[in-house]
Amino acid sequence: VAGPNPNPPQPGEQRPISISVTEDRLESADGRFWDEAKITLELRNDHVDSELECQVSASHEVLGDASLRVISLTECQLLNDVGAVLATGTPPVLQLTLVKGDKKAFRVRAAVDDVAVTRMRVAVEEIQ
Amino acid sequence: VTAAETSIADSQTAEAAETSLDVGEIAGAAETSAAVVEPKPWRFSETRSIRPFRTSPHALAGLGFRIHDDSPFTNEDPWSVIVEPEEFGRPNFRPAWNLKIDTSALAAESGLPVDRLSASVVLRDSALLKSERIISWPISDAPGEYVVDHKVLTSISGARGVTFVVEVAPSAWLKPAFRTAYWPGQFVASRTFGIAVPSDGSDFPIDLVEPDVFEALGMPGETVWAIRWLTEGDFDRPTEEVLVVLFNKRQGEKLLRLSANDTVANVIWNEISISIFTEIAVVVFASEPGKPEQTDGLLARLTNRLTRDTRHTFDTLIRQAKSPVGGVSFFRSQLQKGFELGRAIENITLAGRS
Repeated sequence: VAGPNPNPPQPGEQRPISISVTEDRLESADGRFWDEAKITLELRNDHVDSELECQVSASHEVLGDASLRVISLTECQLLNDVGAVLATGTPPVLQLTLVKGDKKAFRVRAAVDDVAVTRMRVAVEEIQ
Repeated sequence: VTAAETSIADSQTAEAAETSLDVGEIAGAAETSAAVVEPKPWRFSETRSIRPFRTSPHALAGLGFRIHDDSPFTNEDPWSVIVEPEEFGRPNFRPAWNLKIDTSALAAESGLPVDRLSASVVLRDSALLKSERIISWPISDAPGEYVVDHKVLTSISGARGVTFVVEVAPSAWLKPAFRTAYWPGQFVASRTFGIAVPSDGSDFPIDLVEPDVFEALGMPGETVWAIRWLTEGDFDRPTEEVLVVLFNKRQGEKLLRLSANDTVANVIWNEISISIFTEIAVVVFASEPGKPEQTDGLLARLTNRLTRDTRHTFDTLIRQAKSPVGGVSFFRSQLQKGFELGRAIENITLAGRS
């Protein structure tokens, strides 16, 4: 909606966390299809604090073929690196503490129609 | 070129966006004071498109393009050049490619045998709302070099520039297989070659909506237009992912049909474009963005346009946008100059108008 943005972005160098995301579409043994994103979070070495509370959320967007506009949101699951479900929702939200030197790995998974164009969006934000 | 023409949403730009990776940061609403600067909370997100079939990012990486016979082929990606509209009618304007297709990468990355694939060249002319496949070959028959036919060139408007796209897709319907393209509309490789004309930078995506859409957003149903922001602050991404300009159907359809040759219509559209552009510029630059990284993103387009028109630096634009007084006037006045609003008003013929 028109109006000044109340949440202005910060310059990139002020981000305390490095994030890596890789995504893929998978077919399970039972013939169902999934979009999956692998996420790795790490507290940056140059960040002053040794630990940081943050919140991870993920959304799975189904896009229109031509326009790539968002048509719908799909419920998705946030899993740990051994596949245990940590949160489910639209979006799933997880709070965690990042400790310097310790990488945290997650997966986001959402059921999908195998012919759909989709987008996985992963957001990380500070908890105050 | 009227603002009405340049404001029509273009799915081509959306298509270009699908391969982009965007990383943005959105700080929270922490208060700051002059004496103590509190660290701002932060938020950032990362996103990518997931296609239902595998594509080949390297198959067309070696393609070279040129627009004049006497120029060398170059293969920047994305390939783009800005020319004056008259360029399209000049005799030495002869777009051509050296079609160096890496067939090994194409087969390995797409998962499809090369003999099932075709390459095509598509011409998109935004001013004519035209997208035309001008030639197509089975990959094995693609020539080493291809020059666009003169007859095709004479059909180009050029008013909004043109885009050529080299695409590779299955030649015919194939047996569907997981994560493999199987019909001719699924492009497993593509490269875009843009020939742009100096832009007025106002081609924001538009949606014509019913009045109740404005009411649902807390605005009167009589609202003529409003900007709907699709992101909370990540402006370094394609415009259609950042905002859409909502036009009330009651007036929008008429506005979009106003003749480009009507001097009053020109003024109306200039005024609307300037208002839209001013609001966007103030919101984006007041958010203190980092310098643009995505060359086709809204932030880059705004920055290019405003640094060119105002001759001010990126940092000055931020300072002006944050100014509690005068920021809006600064951008509006610069845009009035850039859009030549004064001249548009001077061009109105009063004869016959009462």
